[in-house]
Formats: sequence, C-alpha cells, structure tokens
Amino acid sequence: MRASLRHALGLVLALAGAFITLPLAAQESRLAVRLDAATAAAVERIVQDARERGLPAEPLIQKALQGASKQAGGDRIVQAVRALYGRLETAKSIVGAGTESDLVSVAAALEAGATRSSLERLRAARREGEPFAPACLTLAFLVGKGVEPDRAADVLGDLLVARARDSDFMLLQRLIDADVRAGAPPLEAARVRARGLIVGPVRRVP
Amino acid sequence: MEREPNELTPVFRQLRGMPGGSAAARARLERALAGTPPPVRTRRVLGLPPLSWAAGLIGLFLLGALVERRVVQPSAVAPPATVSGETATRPVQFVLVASDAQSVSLVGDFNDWDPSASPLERGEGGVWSVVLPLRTGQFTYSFLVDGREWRADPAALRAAGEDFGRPSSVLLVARAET
Amino acid sequence: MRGWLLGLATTALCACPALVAAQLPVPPPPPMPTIDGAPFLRFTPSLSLTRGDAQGWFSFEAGLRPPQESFGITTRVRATHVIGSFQPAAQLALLGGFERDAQRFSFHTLGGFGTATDQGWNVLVFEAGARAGRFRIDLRSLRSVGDGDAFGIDTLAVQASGRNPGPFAYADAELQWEIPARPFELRLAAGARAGSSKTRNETWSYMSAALPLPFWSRRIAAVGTIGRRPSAPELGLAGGRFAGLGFRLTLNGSAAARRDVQPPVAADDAGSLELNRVPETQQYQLKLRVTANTSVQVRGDFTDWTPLSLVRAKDGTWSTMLDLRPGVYQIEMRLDGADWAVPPGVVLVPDGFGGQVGVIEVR
Repeated sequence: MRASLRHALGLVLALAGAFITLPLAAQESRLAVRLDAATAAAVERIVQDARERGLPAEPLIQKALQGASKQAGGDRIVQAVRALYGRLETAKSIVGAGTESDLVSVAAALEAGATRSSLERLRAARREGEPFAPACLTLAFLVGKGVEPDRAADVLGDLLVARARDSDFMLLQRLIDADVRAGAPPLEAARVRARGLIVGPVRRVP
Repeated sequence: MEREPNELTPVFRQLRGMPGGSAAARARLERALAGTPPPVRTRRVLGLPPLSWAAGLIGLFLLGALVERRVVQPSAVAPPATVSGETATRPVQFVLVASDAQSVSLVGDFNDWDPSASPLERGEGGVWSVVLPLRTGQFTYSFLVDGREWRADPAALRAAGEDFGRPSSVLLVARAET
Repeated sequence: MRGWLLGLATTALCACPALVAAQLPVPPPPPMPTIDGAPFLRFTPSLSLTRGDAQGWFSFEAGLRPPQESFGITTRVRATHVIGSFQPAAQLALLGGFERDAQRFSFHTLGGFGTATDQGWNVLVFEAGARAGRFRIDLRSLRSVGDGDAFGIDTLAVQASGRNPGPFAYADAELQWEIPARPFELRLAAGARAGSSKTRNETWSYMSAALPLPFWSRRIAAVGTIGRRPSAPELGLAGGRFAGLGFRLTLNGSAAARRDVQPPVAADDAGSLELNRVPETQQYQLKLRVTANTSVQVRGDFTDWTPLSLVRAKDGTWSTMLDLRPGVYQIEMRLDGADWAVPPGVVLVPDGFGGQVGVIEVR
C-alpha cells in the first residue's frame, strides 16, 4: 500500500477506535470516580457481560451509582448489581425482544415481588407493539400493597386486553391508592376500579 | 444590500427617510405625513378585501374549534335524553369504600336525587360500586349510606356552596374521544 | 378602514351562528370543524440593526396543534408587523396543515395564504419542517399572488431595499442545530434561498441565544441573534448582516380534553410528581407538589444519583428542567435536607440496599 494511504487508513482506524471507546471510557469513568477500584472493576465486569448478552447496561451502572450515593459497602453494591443483572436476564426471557423500558420495568416488578408466572400472564395479554412498562409498574404497585401477584396480573391483563393506555394505569393507581387508604382490601379495589375503567373510558377492541 | 456602491448609500438613506434639509423640517414633514391618512387601495377577492377573507376564515375556524372543545351542554335541569332521541351517554363508575354499611345508594342531578334509583352493589371488604350511563355535562352527586348518612366521594372534588349540611361531590363527564 | 370593518363584520357573522347554536338545548349544535388540539401562542417583539438601519418588529403566532405524540391537524395564525424607516409593514397569514410532535422527532407541513397591508402583496405560503433530536430543517416556499404596488418608492431604492414591484417567488431551506448550554438555548442556523427572476439567490447564517427567565419555565425568554438575514420581499425588508435583541413569550395550552369520566381524584390524593415534556424538544419539566420550607432535591437514574436542587415556583410547587429520553427511571426526593424518600404517589420497589426507591416511566 502507498505510504499516504496507509497513514490515512491508520488515522481513520484510530479515530473510529476513539469514537467507539470514548463513550465507553466515559461511562467507566463514572464508576471509577464514585466507587473504589475493586468494586468498580467488579461492576464493570458485570456490565460487560450484560452488553455481550444484549442486556441494557445503563440500569446496572445506575444501580451501582445509587449504592454509592447511599453509602453502601462495596460488597453490597456488587450484590445488588448482580441481582439486577439476574432480574434483567429473567426479564429478557419473559419479554423476548422488548425495549429497554420493558426490560427495566419487568425487573422492577420482579424486585417488588411479582412472580415470573404473573409477568408471563401480563405479557400474554399485551398487544404487539404496545408498551409494557405501565402495566408492569402497576403490577409492582399492587404487589407492593400486598396483592397476590397472579390475581393482580389477571386484573391488569384484562385492562391490557381492553387496550388501556398508560394514563389509564396511572389513574387506576391513584384510585386504588385512595380506596386502600379508605380501608378497602387492595385486590377488591383493583378489581372494581379496573372494571370501571374497562366499561368506561378505556378503548374497546375494534 | 451588498451590491450598492458607496456613493448611493446616503441617497438611499435619504429616499427611505423623509426628504428635507434640517432635522426640524424632516420632523415637521413626518408629522404632516403621519397626519394624512394613506391612500386606500382595496384589492378585492370575490367582492371582499383579502384581509377580510382572512379574518373571516380565521374567525370561523378558531371559533368553531373553541366551541367544539367546550363542554356544550344544556343546564343540569334540562329534560333527560328522550326529547331528541339519541343523546350520547357514557358509562361512569361510582365507588365508595364503606365496610360498615348495610346499603349504599347514589343520588345526584342525573337521577333527581332519588335514593331508590341507583343502589350500589357490595363487593368484598366493603367496596360498593355501580356503573351508570350518563350524558356529557357536569353533575353534583353524593352517596346515601343506610338511608340516613350522606357522604361525599372521597376520591372526587367537593361541591362548593350551600350543601344544607349534606356534603356532595362534583363530576365532569366529557365528550367521548373517538 | 372599510376593509377592517368589513373583516370584523365577517368574523362576527360567522361567530354568531356558532354562539347561537351552542345555546339551543335541542337539537344538538350543527357540526363544526373539530380540532381536538392544544392551543399555543407565541409573541416575539424584537429590535435589530442592519447595516445602519434599525428595524423593530413583533410577530405573533397562535394556533391549535395536535396533542403530543399524535399526528393531526394543526392551524396557525401568524401576524408580523415591522416598524422601520418610515413605512411600517404588516403581514397576516393563515396556515393549516398536519403536524406530529414526538419526543425525538417531529414534523409539520403547512400551507396557507398571507396578505400584507400597505404593500398590497398577497402571498401563498407552503412550509414543511422536520426535527430529529437537535437538528431541524425548515423548508419554505412563498409566491406572490396578484398585483402589488411599489408605494411611491423609486426603482433604485426598491432594488436596494429588496422590495420587488412584480410577482415574485422564492424557496428557502434552513438548517438549525441546537446546542445545549443550560440555561441558554443556543441555536446555529444556516440557510439558502433559490429565487426566481425577481428575487435573488441568497445564503445566510445566524446564531441565536435565548435565555428563559425564570430559569425553570420556558414561557418567557430573552433572545439575542447575530448573523445575516435573508431579505423579505413580501414585507419590504432588506437582508444583510444584523444583530438583534428581543423577547419571546410562548404559551402552550394544556393537553387535549382528557377523558375525565371517572371522578377526578381530589387534589391531595393526586400524585405529587409530574413530568411534562416541552413541545418540540427532548426536555421535560419535573414538578413536585410538596410542601417544603427551604429546599427540595431529587436524585435518580437521570442525575447519576447526585442530588439536584429544584426551584420553587410561586404556586408553591418545585420544579426543574431535565434532558431525558423515554424510559423507566428510579427516583428519590428529599425535603429540607431530611432523609431521602420516595415522592408520594410514585410506585415503590425495594432498592437492594435495605430501603425503597420510586420508579417512574417517562414517555
């Protein structure tokens, strides 16, 4: 090859390399700044694994930063990141080809105590292409209030089938919250309010 | 602007400003000009100046939109839907949590405050509910517990004004989105 | 004068049936064009200096746009009034078309009719634009309709000033790039015009910096611009290098009529956290309805878990502006330096460190 061409190629490769690694280096620097060397290295390995598996890396990094800001010990942080990694893996096996929002919200629901079967029920009820996060977060909300995951998933599944929008789920959460504070059992409140939404303003299946 | 030769710049400035030697003369001329109404050249498109067409179209368009977006409704004492036949109604759910109650009834503008018109069904744990078809509009309503105690809906806006010691709530039923 | 009166009369005549129909209980009002959209209003008074010539103008744009994240009809009324030299020039345009405004991408296409007072130019306007992230492209094609007048100005001055006594048309393309430099909104723009026989081909570029005041709301902003401006034959404005200063007031109406069929949840039961996207940008206003005396801070996935202070508004709510992509984020807040807690109304999940954290979705 001619010398000038080689130089040019080298420059292009160097620049390409810089463009690819620069953002990654920037991310790793976030961990290096906030965590001690050993913890940062351990978290980076998990993040690297996640990238290779096609799982979102940013929630893992954020979990580590969350631990750092809550002054958790290095071991605790690594444990939490590993646990989130596991939940993201489970989420991926439930949701399949989903957006990052879907995976993160399923992981949050799992963390709140939702069972795999309840999330699979939800996923079965969801229409192709419609967002999953509002239903998952509402499931996390109900499970957090003590509702049994599978029953909660049944109620929310009916809403998904009736094509409820995220604003409907937000409204549902607030109404159930009000009812629970007035003394209602959360599952019954969920059932009644969901029925009201389905019969009322929720769009019907055409 | 860039093309103009330098000698002409003062000429253009003069042309775009008032002619006249002194600043005082220019000021007088400007005042005189400002006092004279400009000649009216009315261009007509289909008999009306285009500005009127524009104003008219804008008025029509925006007013139509504003009217449509308002809740267009007769007052609450208008007769029910039977008069004009098909008036759109929407199913609305009312819920009251009252584990101690034996019976709960819904009373409001839409059923002439008749306690026997809309009883609620009891669900587990004292979650009473009912679904009623309502027309678009604004309604005041309340729950009547065991035939004697009035309760406003805790999850809704309180009705303001004189309530005769019986609290009630306000509900707005908007047009259905297609 | 007569023209204005006639215009008002036309508007009144068109309005009357609408108002009358609204009063009739039976039958239902006659069908009107329904534009289910959010109203907006933008008012921009500015002053600029162009090569020794000072011009002031204000422009006013109002209309209805479809709710965010949906595609629909949009209408705009645009009025521009220029004060300079000794002839004010004003233009009124009515435009209608389609628009879609999503978080990362939006586009609009409009067509309309404009009329300029005094000069007598009527113009047909066609505009299209698209925005992807921080880049915008705007296309505009303008053509005069009918005959206009050169109002008592001599030919040389006409050509120098950019006014053209005859039918004219031009097509502009302008590219804009937003540079985030909080709290400023910096914009770099470059454009080119293909003119017809009566208008020149031109290129221009300018830079503008807008500073919203107060900082947490984008309603009113001071805007400074410097660069080169193309000529505007329909208004009789010459192009050239200029520097300008102005204000921009933008009011966006609330979202389209919500489906408020359920009893609206009472104020204290409503969630305390609100996230509203600023139209045509990727920015969100985070608002917390909480009572605090001295400070409110948030931290979460969107701040790398470093605390971010909110600013108190007059109505007692606390807010800040954030650059966000849609997604699911974990969040906490702290009032008056107390312990970190989850904002009321937000979904709670265990945080993995022995406590709890809130989870929200940003669409």
